[in-house]
Formats: sequence, C-alpha cells, structure tokens
Amino acid sequence: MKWLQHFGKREMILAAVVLALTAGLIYYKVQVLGYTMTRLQPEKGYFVRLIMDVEAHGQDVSVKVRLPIQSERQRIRREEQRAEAFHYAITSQREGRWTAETLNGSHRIVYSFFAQTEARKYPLPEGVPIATNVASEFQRYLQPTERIQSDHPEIVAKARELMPPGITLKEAIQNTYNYVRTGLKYLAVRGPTDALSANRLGEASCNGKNRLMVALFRARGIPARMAKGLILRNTRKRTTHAWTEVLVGDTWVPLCPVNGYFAEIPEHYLELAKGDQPAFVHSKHIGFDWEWVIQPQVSQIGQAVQTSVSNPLNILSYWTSLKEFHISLNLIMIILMVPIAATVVSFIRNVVGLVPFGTFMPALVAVSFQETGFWLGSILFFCVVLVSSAVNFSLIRLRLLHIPRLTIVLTFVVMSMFAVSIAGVKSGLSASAGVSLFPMAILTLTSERFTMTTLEDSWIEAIRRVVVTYVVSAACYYVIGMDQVRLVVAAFPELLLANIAINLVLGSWTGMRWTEYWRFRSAVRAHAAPSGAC
Amino acid sequence: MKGVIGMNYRNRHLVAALNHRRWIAVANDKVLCKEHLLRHGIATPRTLAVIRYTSEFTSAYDRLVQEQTGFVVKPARSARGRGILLASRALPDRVLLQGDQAWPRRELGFHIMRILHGEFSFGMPIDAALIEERIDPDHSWVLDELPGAVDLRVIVKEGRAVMAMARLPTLFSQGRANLHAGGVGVGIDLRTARTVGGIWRERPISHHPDTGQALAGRPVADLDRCLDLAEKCYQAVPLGYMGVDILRDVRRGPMVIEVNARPGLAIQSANQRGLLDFLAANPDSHHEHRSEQTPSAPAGHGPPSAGGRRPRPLVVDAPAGREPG
Repeated sequence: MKWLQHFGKREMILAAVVLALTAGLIYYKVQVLGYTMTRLQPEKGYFVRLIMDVEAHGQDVSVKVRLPIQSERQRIRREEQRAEAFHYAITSQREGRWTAETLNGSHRIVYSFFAQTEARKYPLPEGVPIATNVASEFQRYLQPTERIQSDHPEIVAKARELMPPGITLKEAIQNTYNYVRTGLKYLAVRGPTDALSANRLGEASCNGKNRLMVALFRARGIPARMAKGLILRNTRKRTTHAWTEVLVGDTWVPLCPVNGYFAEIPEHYLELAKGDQPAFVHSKHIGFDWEWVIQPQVSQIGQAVQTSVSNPLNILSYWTSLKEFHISLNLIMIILMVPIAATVVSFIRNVVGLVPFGTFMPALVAVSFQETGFWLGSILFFCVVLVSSAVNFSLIRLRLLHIPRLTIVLTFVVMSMFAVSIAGVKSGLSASAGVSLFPMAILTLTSERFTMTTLEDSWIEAIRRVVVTYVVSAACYYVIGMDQVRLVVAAFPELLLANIAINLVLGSWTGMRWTEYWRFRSAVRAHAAPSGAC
Repeated sequence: MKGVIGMNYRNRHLVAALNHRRWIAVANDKVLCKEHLLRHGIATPRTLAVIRYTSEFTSAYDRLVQEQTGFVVKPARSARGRGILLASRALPDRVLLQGDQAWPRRELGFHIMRILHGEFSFGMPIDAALIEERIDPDHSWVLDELPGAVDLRVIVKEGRAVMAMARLPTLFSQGRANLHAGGVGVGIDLRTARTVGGIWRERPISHHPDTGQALAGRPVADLDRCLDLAEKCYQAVPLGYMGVDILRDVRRGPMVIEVNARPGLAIQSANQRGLLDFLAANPDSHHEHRSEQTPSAPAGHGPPSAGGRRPRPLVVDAPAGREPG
C-alpha cells in the first residue's frame, strides 16, 4: 500500500476516532431516538399555515373551515392544529370545526399541513356527444342555486348559443371556456358576483366567471361544480381561488378561465373544497381575521430539524426555539454549510492544486451565491471584480496609501453591487434581496490581489486566478447546494465532526497535487527513465 | 517520479517539521535576518540605512547622498521581490534609478511610505524599509553576458547543501532572475559543479532564450564557496529546510542576499530530479558521504547519485576509482 505512506499515522488514527464518534452519535439518534432516514428524503412541497384570530366577548363560538382534500394528485400530510380553548373536530367532508363555549378575549387558531401536489392534464374524448342521461348521483350538479341561475332564460339562451344541438362534449366545453375566459373582462372585485350579473355586465371576478361557467354547463345538462382552492406561492394572503369542474364520463375535469388552464390543473393549485360554499363560516358578532402563510419547500429541511426538537442531541433545536430572536432556519443552514464549503476549498487546493485568491474566499462567495442565486451571483462577482479593479488601477496612479485606497475600492464595490442589483431587479432577473450579504470586504481584497497580480505578474496570470477563484466558488456552490448534503447535515449536525475528520486526513496527506504532475513534469519524466536502470 | 515532492510534502515534512516558527519569523524579516548573518561573519551587502518611521527618511537620505554609491531599497517583509527598488545614485534633489530613469527625492519618500504602510507585505502592516549598498553583480556567472544579475539558489537541509539552481535573467524578465518573472532556472550537479539543463516559464529548455548558449555542462565558478556560505547560514539562522540566495559580486565574490524559510520546488524541474532523493541520502554522515563519491564521473553524465555535493579538494586527492560498497 504505497499510497498510504502519504498519510500521517497519528492524524489517520485521530480521524478514525472522530469518525467513529460521529457514527456513534448518528447510530444513537437513529436507533435509540428513532430518527428515520425516510424523513430525510428530499421532497418538493409546500408548508401551509392558516392563522385565524378570533375575538369574542362571552359568546359560544364556532368556526368552520374547508380543509384541503386528499386526492391522488394532492397529498396532505402532517396536519396539525393548535388552538387553546377550542374543541377541534374534522368531518368526513374535510371540514374543520373549532368550537368553544362562552369564549372571552383574543384567541388564535393555527392549522398547518405539508402539501405535495402534482400537475394533471385531462385529455378530453373526441367526438363524444353530450350525454342525455345523467346518473342520479350527479343530478344535484344540474340544479340551479341562488347564485348559479342555470334556469334563467338569459343563461339558457347563452348556453344554447355556445353549445348548439349536435355539438360534441369537447367542443361544448371548449366554446364555453373560451367565452368565459376571453369574452368576459376580469375584475378583481371582492364580494359575491352571481352568474347572471356576470353575464349581463360582461365582466366578473374569479368567482363570478366560474359561477357563470357552471351555470352555462348546467343549463345545457352537463354536470358542473365550483372548486375552491389556494394558489401556492411563497406569500401570506387572505384570498382563495376558484375554478370550475365539469363532468366528463365519470371524471371531474378542471377548467380555470381566470389563469387559463383548460382541462388541466397546475402543480401550485391546492384543492380546498368542492361547491360554492365560502371557505370560512363563523359565528356572528365575533372578531374574525385570517391569513394563509405559504412556504414552498424544496426539501424538508425544516422538518429534518424539527423532528426531534426535544432531543438534547439536536443542537439545532435550541436555535429553532430561539425563533423570536429572528434567527431563521436559512441562516442556520448557511452557517452550517460554511465548513462544508471550506472543505471543498481545502480539497481543491491540497489535492487538485488549484490556488484561488484568498484562503476561504471561494467558500464565502459560494455561500453568497446561495443568497443571490448562481447566475446573478456570477454576474455580481465578475462585475464587482472588474469595476473595482479598474478603480484600483486609477487609484494606484494617484499614488494613494494602502488602507485609504482599499477603503475607496470597498466603497466602489458596494456601489457596483447596488448597480447590478438594481439592474437585476429592473430586468426581472431576480429579486436580489440577498445582495446585502455578498462578502464585500472579501471581494475588495480579491480586487486588490487581482490588481497587484496584473501589475507584478501579468494580465494573463491575474485573469487565470480570477477564473480559478470563480470555478472553485462554483464547485463549493454545487456541493453545498446539493439537497442531500443540506438535508443530511441539517438532520445530523454531528457531521461537522466528520468534516473535521476529512480535514485531518487532507491535512496529513503529502502526496503530489494533481497540477504538480504537470508543473514538475521535467523532474518527474527525467526520473522515470533512470529509476528502471538503477 | 519517486523522489519528486509536492507542496503538501514540503509544507508538512519540511517546513512544518524542520523549521521553528521563531526562525521563520527571522528569515521573513530581512533586517533581522541580516543581523544574524552578520553576527556569524557571513558576507552580505552592507546596510546603509533601516527606516522604520517616516521621520527617519531625511537623515537616511542625507546618508545616501554622502555615500555616493548605488543602493537597493527593500521592504523588510516582502516576498518574491515585491517592492524592491534599484538605484544607482542619490543626488540632493533626485534619485538616479537603474536604467537612466530619475525620480524626484519625494518620490522615493513616497515609495518608502508605501513600504512602511505594509503595501508589499500582506497582513503585516508594520514593515521597515531596508536600504543596502548595491553590489556589483556578475552578469557572466554560469553563462556569458546576460542581461542582468545571475543568482544562485541553494537548498540547505539541516546544515547540508543538497541542491542548487542558478537563476538567469532574460530580456523577457527585464533583467530579473526570478523564475516567476521569466528568469531561466538552471539545475546544477553539485558533484561536478556543472549545469545540467534548465527550465523557462515552466517548460524545459536546452538553450538560453536570448543568447542561445547551451545550458547544460557549464562549470559554475565559486560553487564550493557558495555552498560553504549557504551551509554557514544554517549556523546563523537554524532552519532545517531553507533556501539561500547568493549573488556573486565581481570583486568581493559570493554574498548572501536572502534566506528563505519556504523555498519553492521549481528547483526539482530545473535539476530534472526529485528533491527527496537528495534529502534522504546520508543525512548525517556529511564527510563519509563525500568520500564515497567517485570524483571521476564525466561532467553532466554521472550515474544518478544519491544527492550531495561534489568532493572538496581534500577529497579529490583521495585514491581515484574507489567505488562505494
């Protein structure tokens, strides 16, 4: 084992001990405390919270909410509710009911779940006529209601016009959809709009458009219903969304005339309930306010961290319990990832042999790429280095002393960061909120090294090293951006010990760096020949 | 490739293992290092002035004007020749630089200010400017008529000179001998005191790029004196692994310019040999090692020997043809 002689014995033993300790801690967590690896599978989904605030003055209070339905395309998991002073029940129609007797003061109800949804497309059969007999179980989807006036002569006439006799079901659906989507103006009004007034006014809100569409279908004998849901975006909001479902054979086919989804439902639509009922029903004379808080989650880092909040070994649980100090999970993850990125740098320097500017600069640049996004970050990196180096050149001509000159360069770094960020936002490239964390001081030093290298060495060498720095940063970014890495480290922060072990091994390795085989090739080659002769 | 080592090996098994931090600090400070060298009577250029505070500039400048000699301004803690200024004469109002350029006096003051503010010594804001007499270096050492001073780098391991390389200036390097700047590195066989070939800009070459002279097989004058000088440096600055840079003054002979605590590894390419071969061979038996060598090896074509330097005259007199083992 010749290659082994390049490692230090003491360091390898120490690394083995540290690794064993890490493995032991992980084993303990998995086997004794019941951590399961399945929880670590990265999944795309949304963490949704419904926060309702109730203020009462001695009344009996009841709040009814349409909860998200479970279906094949929509999986709802980890449903949790927290409401002191309330009794909670859930009906088979997935309506959540919170009740309390003689309630006083302000109370909060928090209902949360993790939703994983899929986009679905529904192919419509060609050449199928509109069915004349509707099964009895679907009869109620043909009945007129107070707001869906499918029996009103104007609606019936419009339905005939859009869906003349002999038309196929597919054409009927397409014509009606087109009419409601483009024939009616969209108006973002709150408050109820019924089908008839939508048709008369030629403009309607989301609910109005869909009520009209349902009414038109029903008037023509096609079962249809309203669907209520939530658009999953990274926001807090009070509004829900509505669309229409029309019965084709025995399948309910979704149509969204507002956002233009024909016979398909996109991934970010969360189905809450079917029918025209309001999303909330609550007792009268109480103060009631609500808000949906939606957080997209590419993975379950939050969960990985929170699974064992009570576990004393889970260092992160202490952090999350400090949430009132505004320490975000994201920040914790960034901090956790810094040593991992540094390990990538130490590997590239000591094993590959590429030498970027600065010691840990690429690691920090990679971390800031996570804030800004890779492409904006890359643009920032090059812009900042080029602009500030140009400034640096002119300042050297002015013959300023070192530290004041660097301070001016730093100022320019900040200014060019703002410029890029504003340009980025204006061109819609990205909301560059994370720009503030971009390591300005470090980029200033990069610019200084760049400038000095061009002056003392050559342009080619300086550009080569800037590119190397960028490539190493990208490599760090790639490694710490891997979901598996983030998840495993979030769930087992003990792995930072393994990080130490890796560096013990790396630090004791005295073999040739890959680039050195090229650098010292004349010595390597010349030696190869006589070594056989000896 | 067995004997070739990389930076990892150098940093861990040579620099970290053999060099005490205290002495690394001494080697990194040219002013301090020089004090140690002088104490041991090692030939080195005469110090004209050391400036630690801007206020010392006036008196130092007056001294330079009086001396009427060429001088060199160096940051005490810079590496790779950064911030070094060569001047041929100081006049009351201006400084004549090498190459017919002239600076007003306050321009030199500004350069020294830049040194004192740490511009050439990253992370060490408190620097000093060392002004020493400019020696008259031999431009025809190793090869004839080179466009600048030739310097000799000797690797000394625990007091024993194990490898050497001559660094030749080129027009490309604008007269500098630094390999990074574009100087030619020429390996030297210590047993035969002859060159073995060289590298230029990280590529092996056989002839000097400007003069076209062959690089291999040239005798290196005064090599023994240089090696002795380098080994003596170990007594002054006991670094287990060090590089000693030597210039050859036309009249006064070899002089130590600098002691380096982290000498680079390009010397392997220049010698077409790995450093490890030389380090491992007979680390302690300095004298025996020499007597075991065969002095009769033809120049430049000797069998690959396990390091060491050529026998001194004393040993050359030993019976020829005595084979080791």
